Amino acid sequence: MSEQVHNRLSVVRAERRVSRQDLAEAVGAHYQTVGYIERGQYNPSLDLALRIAAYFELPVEALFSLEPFRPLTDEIYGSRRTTASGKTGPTGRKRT
Amino acid sequence: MTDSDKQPTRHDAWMLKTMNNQRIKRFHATKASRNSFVTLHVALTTAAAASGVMLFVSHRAWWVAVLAVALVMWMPVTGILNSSTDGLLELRSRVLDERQLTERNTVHALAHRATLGAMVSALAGFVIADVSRESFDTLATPLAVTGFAVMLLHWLLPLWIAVVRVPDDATAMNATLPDRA
Repeated sequence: MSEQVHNRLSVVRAERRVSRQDLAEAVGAHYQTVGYIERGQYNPSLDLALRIAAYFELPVEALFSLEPFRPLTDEIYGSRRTTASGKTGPTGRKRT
Repeated sequence: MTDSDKQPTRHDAWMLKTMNNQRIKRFHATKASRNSFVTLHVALTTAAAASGVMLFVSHRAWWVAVLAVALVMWMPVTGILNSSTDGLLELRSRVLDERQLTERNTVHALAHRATLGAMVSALAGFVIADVSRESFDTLATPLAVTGFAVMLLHWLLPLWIAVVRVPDDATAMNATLPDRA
């Protein structure tokens, strides 16, 4: 049984405004396969993962990981910010 | 050189385009509609096979009309089923990607197991009939009908399994937004 490979493909694809069809054509896959990968229903081969990473000009570990990804907002702004009352706010920003 | 390594021909390109025709997708967009088409296809296959057998056994010509009606309805429904799998079983390996090839192997393995079960059950039935001293003359027609039914199952079960396994695809092919956040 293969291990689940986590990915950030849907986030990066949305950020770059690339359609499934465009990505699929660029990497030689069916557009539904992109959807399967995004939903975690199919783990791509190393070959396909590298082609996807090359398309986005990103290292493969930026898109695929054996560990769950932290939300990008947490990575950029941090996830342990506290409010004036000492509680963590939903957005992670300190309330003034 | 494997089939996957060969360049697609014009026929491959035409088949790929036909099997991925977006105008047909709306007919089988949901799991419920796909399951309904599978049920309809099983019923039409049964009707066509039964009418063919009855035509052969009874020699009554009007069974031809039943057979013709069933086949005329069967063909477009088969097309819709093939479209809902994006031609998983109809396209050559060279135009399928790695996920589709894996899925096709899985479908064939499941269908092979089920067909083997059907053949073993049929064989067991005839062994029991033989033990109970039925003569070959009385078993000839059931044997032929069972053989025909198992052959149809061997042919069409992969298609039915492939369609039932297709998950709902929430977004269109050109969508840039992900299915979920």
